[in-house]
Amino acid sequence: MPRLRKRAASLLAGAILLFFLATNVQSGWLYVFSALLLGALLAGWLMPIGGLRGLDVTRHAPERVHQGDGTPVDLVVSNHTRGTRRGVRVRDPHLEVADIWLGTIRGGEQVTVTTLRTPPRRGVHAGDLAALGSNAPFGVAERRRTVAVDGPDGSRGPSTLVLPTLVPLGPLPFIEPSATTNHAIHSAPRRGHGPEYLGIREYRSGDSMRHVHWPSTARTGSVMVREFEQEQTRRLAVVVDAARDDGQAWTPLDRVCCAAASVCSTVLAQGNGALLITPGDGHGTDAEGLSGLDVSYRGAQDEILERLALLEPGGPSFPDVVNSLVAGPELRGVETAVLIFPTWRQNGAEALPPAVQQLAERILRVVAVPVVLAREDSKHHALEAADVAGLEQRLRAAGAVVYPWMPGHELEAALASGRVT
Amino acid sequence: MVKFRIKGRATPAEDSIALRVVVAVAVEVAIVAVVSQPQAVAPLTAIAAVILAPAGYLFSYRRRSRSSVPLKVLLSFALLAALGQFMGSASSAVSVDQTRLPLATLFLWVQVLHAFDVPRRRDLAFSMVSSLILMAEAASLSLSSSFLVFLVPWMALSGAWLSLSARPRPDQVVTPVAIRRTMPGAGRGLRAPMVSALTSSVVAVLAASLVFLAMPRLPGTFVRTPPFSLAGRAAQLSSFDGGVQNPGLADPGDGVVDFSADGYPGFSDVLDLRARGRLSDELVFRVRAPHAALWRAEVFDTYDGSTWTMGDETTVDLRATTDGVSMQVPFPIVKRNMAVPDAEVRMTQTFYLEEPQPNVLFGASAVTQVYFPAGGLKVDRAGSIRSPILLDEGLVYSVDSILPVLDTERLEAASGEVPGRLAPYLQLPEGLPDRVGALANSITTSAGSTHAQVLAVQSWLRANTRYNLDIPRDPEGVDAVDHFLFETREGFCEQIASSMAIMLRTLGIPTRVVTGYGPGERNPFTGYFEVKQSDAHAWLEVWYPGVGWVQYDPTFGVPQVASGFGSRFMAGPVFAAVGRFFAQVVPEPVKRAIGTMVRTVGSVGRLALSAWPWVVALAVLGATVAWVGRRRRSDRRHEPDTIGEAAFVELVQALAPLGHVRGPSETAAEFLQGVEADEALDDDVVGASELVVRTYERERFGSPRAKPTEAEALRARAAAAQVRHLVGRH
Repeated sequence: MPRLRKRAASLLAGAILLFFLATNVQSGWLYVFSALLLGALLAGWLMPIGGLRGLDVTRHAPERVHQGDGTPVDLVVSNHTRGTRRGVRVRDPHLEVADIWLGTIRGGEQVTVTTLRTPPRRGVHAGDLAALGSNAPFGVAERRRTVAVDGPDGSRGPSTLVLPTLVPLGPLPFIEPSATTNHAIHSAPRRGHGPEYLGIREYRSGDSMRHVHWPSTARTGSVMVREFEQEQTRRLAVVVDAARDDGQAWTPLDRVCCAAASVCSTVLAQGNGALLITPGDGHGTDAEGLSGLDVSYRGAQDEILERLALLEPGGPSFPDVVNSLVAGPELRGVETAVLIFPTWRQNGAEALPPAVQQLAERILRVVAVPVVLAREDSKHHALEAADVAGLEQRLRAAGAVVYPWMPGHELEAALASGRVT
Repeated sequence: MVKFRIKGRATPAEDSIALRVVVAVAVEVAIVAVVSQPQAVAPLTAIAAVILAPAGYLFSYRRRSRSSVPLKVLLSFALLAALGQFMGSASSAVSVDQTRLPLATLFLWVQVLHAFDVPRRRDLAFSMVSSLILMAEAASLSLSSSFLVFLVPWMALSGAWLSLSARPRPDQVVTPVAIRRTMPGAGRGLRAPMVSALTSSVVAVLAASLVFLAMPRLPGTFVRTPPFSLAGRAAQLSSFDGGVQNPGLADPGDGVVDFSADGYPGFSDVLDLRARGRLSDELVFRVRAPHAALWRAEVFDTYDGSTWTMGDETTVDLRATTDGVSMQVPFPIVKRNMAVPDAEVRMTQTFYLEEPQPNVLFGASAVTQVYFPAGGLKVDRAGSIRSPILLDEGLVYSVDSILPVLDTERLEAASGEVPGRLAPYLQLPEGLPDRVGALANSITTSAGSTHAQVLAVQSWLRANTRYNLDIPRDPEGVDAVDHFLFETREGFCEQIASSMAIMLRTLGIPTRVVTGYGPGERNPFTGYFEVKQSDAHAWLEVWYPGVGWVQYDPTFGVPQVASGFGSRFMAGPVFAAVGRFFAQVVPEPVKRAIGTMVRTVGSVGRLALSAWPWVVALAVLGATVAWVGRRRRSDRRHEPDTIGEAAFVELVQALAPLGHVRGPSETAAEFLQGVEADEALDDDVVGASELVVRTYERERFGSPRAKPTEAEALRARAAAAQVRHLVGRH
């Protein structure tokens, strides 16, 4: 049954009041008014029952978009009956919750409405449902129905992957440009964990089970693994803190991913390779729960964006991540490590700088990009402004170049403002 | 930098011109409805309100986006002034009714001033509520069905307002970049919207009609001082001694005062049974009363063979009461003229005069208190109240009556000697033929009590005589009752009532003839009884030992005082009114066809009733088949109802290829246990699965407070999609 709205209570209250007055002053017309209000209430309650029958919804939305980008989404609502459907409203949660007023849809009519959505969250947005509503004719009660949404090709549940916001950055001060943009691709191959396949060799301790080549293993009787090219040009690692997150839109983790994606994209554009280190997603996760993604070829940007798009809060704390990097093999060949982390309390001056200092002693350059949290981001878990200043000072003292990304500031300006102490 | 839209908190101004026009016109209709009621507001106020309200709405539309603080201050002062004026007028009012008129003026000014500051949709809604109050005010002042002229357009405009304001405000929905409508065949015309609007209107009116019919009329009035007022200057009688003066009577050409269109000869000193003619169907007065009753005017006790007169014309003054506004009928007169009741119903009636009437006050018997706009009222020994002024058109007065509720068994047991003071009520003319008494005796042979005798005579008259207004005048020298009973057996209510009175007198039962008006027809909309000239009527009162005077109407019957539960509803008067309407307008062949159809339906109904077990069994079988079919269709096309359920369904589908097929009786938690026990699955898959299942469980089984928010449900949906994505990568 349609849900009664506040207006129904108003009509009922008015009818009761008029009935009381009519009884008191014995005025027949007041009974008529009371009956009219109740009649409108009854009709307004019963009429929306069939108000959504025969409607279906199809959606046309891009498969990939960036967080925060205005994205056109087409919604096609068709009335397959002969009757007119009035007061139709669609609530489509795809990418961003959008309430769309369609009004009257006549029998056999098809309404295509294009709206601009700004996805507030990264990740996969599955949009196979939408809510139809109608409170016609009197707004007394609303009939709602959740309908399955088809894609343009008739497929059920078209989804959109929302990638992190990509900010175009100029030349990064902590990266020396390569001679040519092809340098990363055509340099001499070395064995390692790069994306290019080199051959097959015997299993060694520490090799990932993912790389076991089962046909050769069966043929030779000993465990054989696939061997990959070691990216020689990979001189920069981007390490992101995904230990926690807070909020619904443009969260601290979203900003971390935005910064990481932008830096990686810029590095690739400058002809360098990059290693993206995130908490594990189950693929190539090491003992410390980290996952490395080598990127050094032109198409790699998509992989980075996808990895960052699907990054969910969790995993070890950022100081633990940095400590494990100091001890682990992930940063072999890396000249510069870019640490991107929100200014959570767990990343405070007591915890993170010691780990950064150890890291700075191991590799050539450590760049810290603290994503400074505003008070509205988190009241209980974010560092206070004074503590942030102390953290920056301690990081610099630990040998890091610090590029704080202050709330409300442009990322490009933030990455150009760092200085070595 | 990424920017996200932030919704503003302030409600924006209403830009819809259609909505504003609908509200403005509805308010204008309500204002016109109020000012059209007689003497509702001063003419200058009426003209000002009619002109200023639309101007206010135009002004408000143009200034809708500007600050209105100075305007609000100004309007507040104006409102205070209007309130002050109302308080001044109300303080001098002596009845609730007299406060309604200043209240109407106050409401008008409130509405007009409010019209100047209606920037938002909410303000327009207040305007509509205000217009409803005005319409209610006008409705309470309106006495006739002509109020429909205002009600119908106001209803249509209110429906349009409900419809237009049900649309979301522009700030509540996303503004589309583009919207395209494609319609195979014809283009977008106005036919479909008009059909929809018409359908909505018809359904709403039907629903309102059903509610109206089922709405009980409860006796719950708290009004202590009923209305009374003069329309203009009182037409004072030149010499008032308590007698009856009826300027509407025709000239007595041959010594007999006949019926004229606007003058009933029964409202005079004499009730002449030789009088003939017809009264018009002009409305005489409206009565606001909770029950139907015979509106009693005069009592006659002396019969001379052709006329009834009053044996004792002595009158006494009514006494002013302590409330200063009403007059009381002396208690001995009230007591003498009513029955000693088993129970009593007190009823206040207000009479709104539409045509000039004699100086006799009408009221249900027995009147105890009178609210009348002139002093000097007198009452005779039979309780007939006379006024020193003629009852002119527009005069309003109220009376309180005590209506006795009598137990039939007590009437049956009533017996005893008739006191000597009642001898005038046993008087018979000297020339009354014996056959009248013989007839009365023969009719009541088997009657064992006074009550049985009265009922027997009444039944005989109903069965053997006919009400007919087209009878010739009686021949000279005949007794009117004898001639009616033995020659014509057709006549006016005067002949029928007189015959019963005289026959009962021959049996030794005291009687008297009463004139007044019948109850009239109750207007189903106004609730008022509308009494016409042709409702002028004569009936009789019978005295029972130990009980007192009891009314009888052998012509049409006396309305019951203790009305049943059914009389609390308007269904009866409505159906009666509809029936009268169709009887007037529908041609005879159509009426016959409808009658045949009704009889056929009745026959089928009777057949169905006689075989009711089969009918019930068939109905149950049909309902079961329909329910099962609907259930099956519903199951086949089952789609998730909520976002959380959709997430869970997708999770189950995504994990099925990995061997996690959900069993038919497996709960969501058991399914999750299976997933968590699978070491081959990534932690992310397990974690996302747990999020989906827990959200689904909260949504499905959680208390209202524990239900997930839309954001949480969408997060679960995203988690399910991520599981599908991760599983697909494998």
